[in-house]
Amino acid sequence: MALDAAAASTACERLGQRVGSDAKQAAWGIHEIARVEMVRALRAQFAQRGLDPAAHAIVSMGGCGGLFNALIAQELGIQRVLIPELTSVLSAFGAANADIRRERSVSMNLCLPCDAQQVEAKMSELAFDTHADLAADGIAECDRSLTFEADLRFMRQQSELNIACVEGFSLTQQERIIEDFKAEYGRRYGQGALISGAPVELVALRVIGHGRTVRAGLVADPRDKDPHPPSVASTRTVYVGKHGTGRHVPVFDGAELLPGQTLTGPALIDSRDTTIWIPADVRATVDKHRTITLEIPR
Amino acid sequence: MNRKSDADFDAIALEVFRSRLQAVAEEGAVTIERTACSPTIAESRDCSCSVLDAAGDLIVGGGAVAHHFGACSHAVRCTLALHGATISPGDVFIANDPHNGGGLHYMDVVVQRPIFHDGVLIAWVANSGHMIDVGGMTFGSWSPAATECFQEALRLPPVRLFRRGAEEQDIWAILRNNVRIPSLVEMDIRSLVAGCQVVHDKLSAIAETTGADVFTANVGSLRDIVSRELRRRISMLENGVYRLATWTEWGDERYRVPCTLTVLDEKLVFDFEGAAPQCKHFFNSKPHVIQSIVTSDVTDVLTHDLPLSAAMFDAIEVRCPPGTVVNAAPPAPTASAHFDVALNASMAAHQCLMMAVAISGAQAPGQHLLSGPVAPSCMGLHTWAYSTAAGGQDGWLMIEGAMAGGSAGHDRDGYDLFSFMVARKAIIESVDIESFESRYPALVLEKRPRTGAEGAGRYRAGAGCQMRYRPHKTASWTGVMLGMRERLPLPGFAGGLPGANTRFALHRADGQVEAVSGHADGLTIRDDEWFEFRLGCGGGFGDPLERNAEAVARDVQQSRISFAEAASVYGIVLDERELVPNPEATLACRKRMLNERLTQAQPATKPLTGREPLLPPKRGQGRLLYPGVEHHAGIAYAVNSGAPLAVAPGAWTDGCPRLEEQREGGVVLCQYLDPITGTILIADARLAGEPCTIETLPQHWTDSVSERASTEAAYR
Repeated sequence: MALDAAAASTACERLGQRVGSDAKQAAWGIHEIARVEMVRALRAQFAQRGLDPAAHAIVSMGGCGGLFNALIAQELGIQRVLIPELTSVLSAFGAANADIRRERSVSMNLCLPCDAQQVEAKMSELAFDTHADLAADGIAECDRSLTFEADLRFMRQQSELNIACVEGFSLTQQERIIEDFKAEYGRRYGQGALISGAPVELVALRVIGHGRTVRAGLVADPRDKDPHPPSVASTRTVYVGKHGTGRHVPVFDGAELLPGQTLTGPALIDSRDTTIWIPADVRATVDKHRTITLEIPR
Repeated sequence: MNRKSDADFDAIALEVFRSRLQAVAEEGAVTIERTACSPTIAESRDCSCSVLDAAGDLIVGGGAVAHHFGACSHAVRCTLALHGATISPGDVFIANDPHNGGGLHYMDVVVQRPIFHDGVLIAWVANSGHMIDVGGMTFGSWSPAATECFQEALRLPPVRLFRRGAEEQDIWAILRNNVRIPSLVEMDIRSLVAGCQVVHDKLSAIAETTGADVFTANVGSLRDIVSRELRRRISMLENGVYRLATWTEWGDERYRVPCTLTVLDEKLVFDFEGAAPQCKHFFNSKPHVIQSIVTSDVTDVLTHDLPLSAAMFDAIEVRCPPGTVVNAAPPAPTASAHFDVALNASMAAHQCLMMAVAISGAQAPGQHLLSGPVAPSCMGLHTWAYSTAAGGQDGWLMIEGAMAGGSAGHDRDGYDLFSFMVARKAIIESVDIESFESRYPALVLEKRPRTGAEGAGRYRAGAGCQMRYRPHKTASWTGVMLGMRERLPLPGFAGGLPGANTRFALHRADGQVEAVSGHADGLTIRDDEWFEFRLGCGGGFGDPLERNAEAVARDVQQSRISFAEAASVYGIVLDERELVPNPEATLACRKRMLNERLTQAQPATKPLTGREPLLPPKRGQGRLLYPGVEHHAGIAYAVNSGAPLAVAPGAWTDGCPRLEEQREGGVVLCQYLDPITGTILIADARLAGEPCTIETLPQHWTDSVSERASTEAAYR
């Protein structure tokens, strides 16, 4: 579908008249409010899951992601955005190519420290069953791997934190995961939230089985890393900020970018099915799978 | 439009700023829910996170309990007044005494942390959540037997939990020593501290990007915008006086809670002059509690689309005369300072505003939300305590007791199991039955919306919760009841009928059923007995004889009302097998019922004689006094029939025939009828010997006295 810039401009002008601004300012306002709403939704997800945005990267999905994700990352303190070549059709690609993931968990409800044997028996059982699940999915033994997680909370709490662990549940291991839990809890909620002497409860154990499957080939670009800066295909006028005056921004052709090439914003990358906005000071690097990594300065 | 474009364009930046603060407040509330232990907070979400400016004025609030926001603001102001210059970065305060720096009531402790930027105090975060116990005579700290605040709970004025980041071990030790289940209560208090930490970090980061000056300026601009808009909307309401009175019950005792709303240009004044003197029961309240709840509820009507903030507290004045149940002094007990009296005060205030909205024309704000009274004043919460296997004591607050039914709206039936109108308020969620049974020694036999025709109307009220459950794997429980509206129902609106009352009952092993008083204390129930509660609901909207026949048939099909009630309450005759309405029989039945009403009614107190009914072309052309009642140059008429009712400034209800029904407990239900058609104009619920509790005196009615005199002189 061809975009109708004139019609969009007229609509913004109409809106602008109602709030006393010109079309460009109204368009910037729409963009700002949309961005903030997306940040708010994402922040709520981080909060609900108890995750730290700074420890995560955004993987851009969908045709519009490339326009907003660098800005969303800036606001949330996220330092990296990955934009795969197939960003606009990533869900479909993923559905066709995902690894097999098998999860088994068992609720334990034990106060720590606890009898190691009881837990280890459960762990082995889960591991055995998860292996069997992967086998039933036709995964060869060499393509299988397992990871372990423990859900911990202070006694009587209703929500847990997820702590990585390894097979085995010796007292030393238990002490380690209790320490990890308390450290994570204090980091997230403040030292004042830690209660001295409250028992820690093992709510559940989880085994995650990963089965590597045959991939549709993401063929690495055979060309050598290109040390030259990419060539500018054209320029476009972009308005940034409430008082933004039109600025000529270089536009790069996504198909022409070569592995190893980098560019620094402000810039636009036009691909066949999406446009990527690289704000000022953000550096974009193309890797050999043509994924563009944006590095957001802190 | 010739507004300056820069100012409006800043509005976008401001909205971005506000969204960021709102997200921070929500994150604070989610943190509390995630780190708390008691299901009251972790599952039912009985907590909140308020973000306030350096003076303690509300900027934004997060979490389910909007009633907290104003009270938390009050708590921070008290902390500032008491600790002033000694307040330092890393301090965390706690207070819980409504008489001295606390919030809504003792159990909703308020944990507060100042936020500094470059050494300057720029904001506060105040978190509140319901503690399962804070000491006193009874498990749960609701002691109906208490007659003084000293008996009720550990009462903390604003004191430090942390001083410059270091724990104040002494205060924690006092706390642990005075509450039941100290480990649980400590964890829940620490969840509020955790919420403060998260908000502190995020607000500091925002201030880092904006700088303290811009941060403070933005907060001021937000307040100005909301204030301007609220005042603009208030100015669209008809100036005048609107009244509604109700009573709070304690057994056979009744405590008057009357509200007078004065609308004057850009200001609303809710005055509780005439409230009963303060008393020895735990529902004495405080001005900051009344103000917090009233403002939250009335702004749901006027500015449901704007964030609740300090600006709203500026334009809305709440007057609570000293020495009364709405402004009690120590040693008055206050464990239920935010329930019985306060919820009645808020219901009355909300309904006064609804009446002003209803007569202010189609452009008035809140028209689309027009509804009967908010119904939290029919809640029936209760707490249970039991002995644990380890020999300790444990217990819970039965949050399902909050799930009263909502009043009907002007274009829709009321909600089941939710007592507010459509509102900003997040829903306090009931606990899963499975989760409840696994956590406590209880077995649930039944939980469902209650049946019955109470709250009938053109649109009917929603149903309250009905639940039966009993002790399981424990010998017994001991309970405290917090039931309201046992006798006096909520009134309807615009001819809708009053709602249902709240009832508790104990089913003994021998089959005896004992009614349990709404404020029973020390009630014991054994594991071969079961407990039942049926919650009340709000009122209907419009005369039930105007309800759509298909809607009544659906109510019968869904077993909300019986086949017989369809006929006796709604005048709908249904085919016995198919349960579909019979149009001819229904028409005849409704006609007969309207006639019966008029023949059975007592005559009007002051029938308006010597005036002709208004002719059809003029009907609906006058100025509204109440839905269905208008006046033309100082003479009030029923809109539908043109029947003359009263002359200004008299009460138009005096011109209506009355159908009265005496109920137990000295309660009278009184229907004021259109003298020609028999349609119900107002269905009032009040105490015997009292005048109509509902009154609207718009200025155009009181002013028309002189206008009418001159018109009539001209005719003469």
